[in-house]
Amino acid sequence: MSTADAQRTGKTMLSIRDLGIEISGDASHPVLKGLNLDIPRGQTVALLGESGSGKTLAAYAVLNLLPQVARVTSGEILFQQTDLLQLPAKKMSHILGNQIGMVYQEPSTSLNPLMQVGKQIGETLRLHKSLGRRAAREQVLSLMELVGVPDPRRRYRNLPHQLSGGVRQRVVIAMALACRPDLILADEPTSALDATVQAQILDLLSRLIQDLRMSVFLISHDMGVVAALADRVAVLKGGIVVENGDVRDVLKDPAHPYTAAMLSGDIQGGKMQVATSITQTESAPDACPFLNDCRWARKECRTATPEETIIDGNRMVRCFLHTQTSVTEGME
Amino acid sequence: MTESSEIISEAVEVSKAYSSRPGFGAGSGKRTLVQAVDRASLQIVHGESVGLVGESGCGKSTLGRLLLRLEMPTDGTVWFNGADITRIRGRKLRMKRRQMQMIFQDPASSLNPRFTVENTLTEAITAHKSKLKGRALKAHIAALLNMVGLPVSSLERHPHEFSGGEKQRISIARALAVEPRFLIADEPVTALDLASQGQILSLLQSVQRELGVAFLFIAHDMETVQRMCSRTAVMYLGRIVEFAPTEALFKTPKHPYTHALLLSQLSKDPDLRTAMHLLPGEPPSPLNPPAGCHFHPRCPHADIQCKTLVPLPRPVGENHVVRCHFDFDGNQKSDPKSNEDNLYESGKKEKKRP
Repeated sequence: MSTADAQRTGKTMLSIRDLGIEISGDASHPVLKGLNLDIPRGQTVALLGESGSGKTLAAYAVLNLLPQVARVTSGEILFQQTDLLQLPAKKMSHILGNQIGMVYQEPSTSLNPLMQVGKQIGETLRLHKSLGRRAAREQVLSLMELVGVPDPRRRYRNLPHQLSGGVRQRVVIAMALACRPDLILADEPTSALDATVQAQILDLLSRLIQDLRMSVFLISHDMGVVAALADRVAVLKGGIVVENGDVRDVLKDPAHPYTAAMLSGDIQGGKMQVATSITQTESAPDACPFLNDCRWARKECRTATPEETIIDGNRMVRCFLHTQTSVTEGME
Repeated sequence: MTESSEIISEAVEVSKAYSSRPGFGAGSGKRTLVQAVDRASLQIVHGESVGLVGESGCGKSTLGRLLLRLEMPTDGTVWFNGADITRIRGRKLRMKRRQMQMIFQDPASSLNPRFTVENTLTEAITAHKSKLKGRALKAHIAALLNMVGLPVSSLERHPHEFSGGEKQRISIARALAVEPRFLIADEPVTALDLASQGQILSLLQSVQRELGVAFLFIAHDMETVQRMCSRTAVMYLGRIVEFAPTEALFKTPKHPYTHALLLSQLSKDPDLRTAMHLLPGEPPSPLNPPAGCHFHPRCPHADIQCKTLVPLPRPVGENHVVRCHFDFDGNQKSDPKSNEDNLYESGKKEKKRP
């Protein structure tokens, strides 16, 4: 589907175009080099990458919360036809929490430790929707019920430390949902939780996504989380999206060697294929980001980043293996 | 485990209780005891690798520290190579300590930032009164670096110059420096990114294979122990609820909690997303553990005796010990008692797929 068309018809909720970010003073190593990502309305799109791949900076750029040292060098972030990068801070604060809801990784640090959790959920409602205290309270209670907080009336008055990790994350989700946002940004929403609780929260999120037809921008390093929640997945490596497609296609039949390595390097699959890179060799700035660990690396991979290539109609991959039509062997 | 097996490290009904005060500061509130480890028994054989899994706060790290006598148990005994190390001190204890080492979760905080790699490794060797000096010492260090896959040029470098995975290699080299017979790795890959995780696990596997070191592998996820360990113990709130050969544990879990942990593993297959398996509730606080079997509030099979009687370890198969009143069988169908039970049952059926 052409992105320009989707944008015009309002089918795309969020469109990140050619986003470049660098850390000040280090122009030779940009963190993001022309990131392209679309989140269609009502879909969950995951940005999958390892630590240091730049996925969290991309999320912060959407929220206009980049740390001081980071600088946007190029691109635009279109949220319902508005470029968030050009928006003054005041207008941005009308969007955050209102049209864009956030679920952060660590519920214990994203909640105010000195404020009753019910009030915290209601704060967004009172601010953005100008609700009175009583009306806000009613809505908060139904929100808490929606996200499965047990005994909402009693929990309303609790402080965050009185809740278990799982309930705290439910509260964070209720806060994100409070204003019925058009887009939810979830940054590693279950990484801080234990296995059995993680399964509960993932189940809750997937039910909410379906019932409320939410559009979600999911940031994760965990293929299991991505497989559980996402419709589409973009794999980030070295500041560029190396593969982007339907989650079934990408996780079941990866087209980029890096995606394949991530899947098999995943310890269920057996041995890690990615070779050790103890001494990081200085490669050309334009080289493929997976160059050093790629089994199929060849000469042109050292000097140029492969272009975005569309395969199977609905999938983008950036790899020279796919720029010529015939090369598919060896991609097991 | 083999018949000719000789036990290197053993915990016999060890317990560790910490006293704690709720609230802020001293004097606010009554002293309470937190039973971090409750009568845990565990044996590790020479050259074997044993896994210890459980959710955060279940006491698995404390049990590891008890085995190395980094903590003194409040009850029970800990044996190492034929000696009760809860009763020896001073030089004798140091001699034993040489043979057991630990690899910590976060290499960034367990390495001295002001030491070069050479300093770090030399300190480990000299601290244990090794007679190695001069050229022999240098050769030993070079061999260590080679073993963990670091170039000799890294000797002059400081920890901050390395990536997370490389730092963990340094701490593995440090642990191996005194040629231990027993290593405890406490979540050695949790702080690392995916690619380094795989590499470090492979490295530990080759270390175990080549040096024949016994391992206790502490982890919170099942995949890691499945890959690394021949036997696995599952902990819940201070108690070892199941201890069995890893294959049997994964194939026929005998404790409902083990079963639930296995079911909460995330599949990488998007088509299986509907088959999510849920255990109700969360691990209770160790400050106020439930009576009887600690697991009963979340257990779909619990009945009256589970609420009052603490299940004792009992054998259910070869090398297979479980702390549960019932003959639970993950593959068998039992009468559904409640809605939660139904949920659980449906999970079971899903899991049967090949």
